[in-house]
Amino acid sequence: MTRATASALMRATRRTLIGPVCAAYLLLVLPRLCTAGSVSDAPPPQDSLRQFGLLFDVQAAPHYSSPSSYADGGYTVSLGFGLNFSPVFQMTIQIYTGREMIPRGTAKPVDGWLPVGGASLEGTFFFATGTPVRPYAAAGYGLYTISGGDGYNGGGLSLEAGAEWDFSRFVSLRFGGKYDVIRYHDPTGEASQAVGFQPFTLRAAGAAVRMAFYPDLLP
Amino acid sequence: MTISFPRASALLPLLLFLYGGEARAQDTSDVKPLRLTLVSAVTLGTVIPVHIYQQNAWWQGPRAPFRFENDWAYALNVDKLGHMYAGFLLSRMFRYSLEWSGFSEHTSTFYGSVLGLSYQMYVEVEDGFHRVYGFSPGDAFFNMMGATIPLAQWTFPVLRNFTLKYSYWPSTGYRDELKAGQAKAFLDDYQGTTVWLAVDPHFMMGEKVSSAVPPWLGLAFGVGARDLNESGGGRRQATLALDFNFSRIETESSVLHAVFTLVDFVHLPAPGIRLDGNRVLFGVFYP
Repeated sequence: MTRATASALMRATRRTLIGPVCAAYLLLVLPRLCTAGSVSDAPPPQDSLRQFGLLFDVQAAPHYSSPSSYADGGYTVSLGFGLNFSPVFQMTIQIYTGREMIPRGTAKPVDGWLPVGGASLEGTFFFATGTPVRPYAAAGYGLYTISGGDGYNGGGLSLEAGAEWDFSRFVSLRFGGKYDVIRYHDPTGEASQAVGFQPFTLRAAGAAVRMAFYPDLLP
Repeated sequence: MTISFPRASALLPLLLFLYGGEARAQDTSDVKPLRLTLVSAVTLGTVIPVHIYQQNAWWQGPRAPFRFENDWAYALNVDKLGHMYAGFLLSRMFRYSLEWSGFSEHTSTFYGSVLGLSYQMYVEVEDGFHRVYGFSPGDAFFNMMGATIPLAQWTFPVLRNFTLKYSYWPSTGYRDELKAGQAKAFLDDYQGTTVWLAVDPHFMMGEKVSSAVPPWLGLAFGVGARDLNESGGGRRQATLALDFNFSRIETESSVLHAVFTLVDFVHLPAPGIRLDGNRVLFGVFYP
């Protein structure tokens, strides 16, 4: 095997395996590690789950953007922290990173897979509490930036609905659909003057997978 | 003199209409006002000079509207590990300070992480207004991970066998090349930095083997980078080395125990094996 073949094989392996392996680790192995050998192995009664307490989460959300948004689609990954106030309500601050595909030939001065960053405040309401699988509806408001050139600042709403599965005392997994409406503008005005950049509204629909950790820790 | 301290939930009356929680266990904090005042004074006396230092080192440039900026390639992720270490260090220091002030271990752990993360996020928000830096979601991710390690260690005791450590030696690459003629901050010198995940392996050993290995001897896995150019260039280093856990040494002296605990935030020179780009090196490594 030549060095070039070996390199190509390594690259292909990295591209095809690392993502699924990481996803499998996050979804299958980590929850078990987190629940194994902990101080509170015994499962509590269901109605005592998800009372007032801290909450951390990791979320992945691929999305498709409507063509009128000047974007094709992208993905975000976020880490969040917040408080679970009761079995019916929780609030988190989410910190986002990701990429958005801006196709060539749009009004914007840069194109390609541009980095996206942001932060949002999100609230979630749960229904059918007291059961292991709880439907939820969530809404949030966030600030975002698409990098490239001077970058484009945006702000807008996100709506989400789906179901959350409490599969242990400490860990929940949720699947949902998500819809974002984010208005972007040129913060410096330079791109508007130089290339006629116009503010635009990004409308994106996608899926969201979230794993939440409830460490059962309060002051 | 001692006073009781209000529970955190009492500070959130506006949200209590949504609060459906059961009564929590009574907080066992027994706050000592003099110590708490001293801790507050030292904290302020540290935060203000550090703010001024950062103002001079990082935030002097032109201000801009708040924005986010991903910088995953900046220092081959050693900066991200540095953020994680800093979040961990601050949370632990706040926790020790609060415990010394009389708060229960439980309360101290919680507020230590809250304070550590708050300080880290304040720095990140300041970056968000800088024309060049921006708020880095990646930095914020790792701040959060570092600051919440003590919470994870509280919830999952097995994690107390793991800790983060740091080693640093000023690099000529940073001083004479990358930042020649510019303002320098040792916190930005990632070419001289190695962040270590240290493990006390005794919990994995059988009783016979465990008793044969000194309690202060452990292992550490370190990650660093050299020849960085701040836009993704450079080479990574990975090191596996012996590690010393001084806080495992039993002592009657609380001062000595405190010193051991502080020293344990640093990885001291120790023999190991290092992957440096394509080379394999054996030796005593620092940083």
